[in-house]
Amino acid sequence: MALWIPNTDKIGPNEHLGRRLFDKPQLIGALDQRPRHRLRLGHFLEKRDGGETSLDRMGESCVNKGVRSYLAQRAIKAAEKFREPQQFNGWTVIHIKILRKPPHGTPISVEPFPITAPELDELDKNIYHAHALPEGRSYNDMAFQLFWLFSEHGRTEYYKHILNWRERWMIICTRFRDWLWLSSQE
Amino acid sequence: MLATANGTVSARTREFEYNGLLARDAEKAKWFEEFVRSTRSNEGTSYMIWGNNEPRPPGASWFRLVERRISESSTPDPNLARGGRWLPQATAIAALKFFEAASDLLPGEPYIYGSPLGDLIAEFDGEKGTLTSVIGPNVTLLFAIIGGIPIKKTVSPEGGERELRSKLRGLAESLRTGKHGALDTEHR
Repeated sequence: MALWIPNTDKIGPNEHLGRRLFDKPQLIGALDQRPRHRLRLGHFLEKRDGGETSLDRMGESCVNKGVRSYLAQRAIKAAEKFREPQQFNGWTVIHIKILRKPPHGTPISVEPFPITAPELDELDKNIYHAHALPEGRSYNDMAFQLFWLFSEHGRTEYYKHILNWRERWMIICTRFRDWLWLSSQE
Repeated sequence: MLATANGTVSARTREFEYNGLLARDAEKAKWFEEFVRSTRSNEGTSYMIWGNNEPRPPGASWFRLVERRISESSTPDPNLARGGRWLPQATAIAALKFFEAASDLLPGEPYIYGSPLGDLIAEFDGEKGTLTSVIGPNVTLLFAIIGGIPIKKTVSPEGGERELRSKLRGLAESLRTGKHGALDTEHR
């Protein structure tokens, strides 16, 4: 499948949009909780306060394999840059028409937001980046509407990433630190 | 015995270092004790307006477990609370009040985690849907998905425990039966 080059002026009528799924860190006092491997509200909460939510444009009419591979490399790099290193697990993907005409509530506008600043590293650039706009919704309302639409009408596009030695070492360090913490509590 | 950059840490004395936070267990235990006691005070807290003659229903069986998880995740250091590992103290107090006031109405043990803005998120699975509560010092939001329909309710501390319980009772019933009044929702 040829790599799809997106129109950077507008989102097409049949595009598929993805929200990256990262393993979020657990609360330090709740490490004994069984992890939940399913979509959560937290997957749609942004660090920035404005409520604009980052999405990836995955393909013109379906998930494009070339685009998926392009985006995966960037997502894996992004996962390492979090304050606590996280694991990238794939995307939850939805058709743009669900966001534009949701079965309940007001439509969500999505605009292309390519990241192409020349001073950035190649893996920090992303021509498929888009923003879902809150348009008056609060931070939590925006996240909830996306969470609801993606849980009811989206699907998960898993990405199996084979960890390199550095990533493995970081995960081992994090788990060891958690174990140290739990041991100190006993 | 475990060796760290600061020297030897004994599991017996329970001295530990984590993300720059150094605490001895005795100090931490004392702090937790005061912290939990402050959340149970009947004075000056908006959720604690339960009538004097009206006994509070017993908490859910999982309440103490969740209380411990929240207490042990709280920190007075706001910088530490940003990473999702810790909860700001004000959020932890609000969350403990929330669970103390309403754990008997909730569908089961929650899955809890921190939001990037420092709120506590608690997720519950009901028979006919899911409930997600976002608990912060100033407001508590209740988001439910019942039969594929989103429902939102807002509880401000001014509304007190009665308002919280009244809104949760309605949602808990809907989560059990799958029936809900679509017009009740505040969701846009």
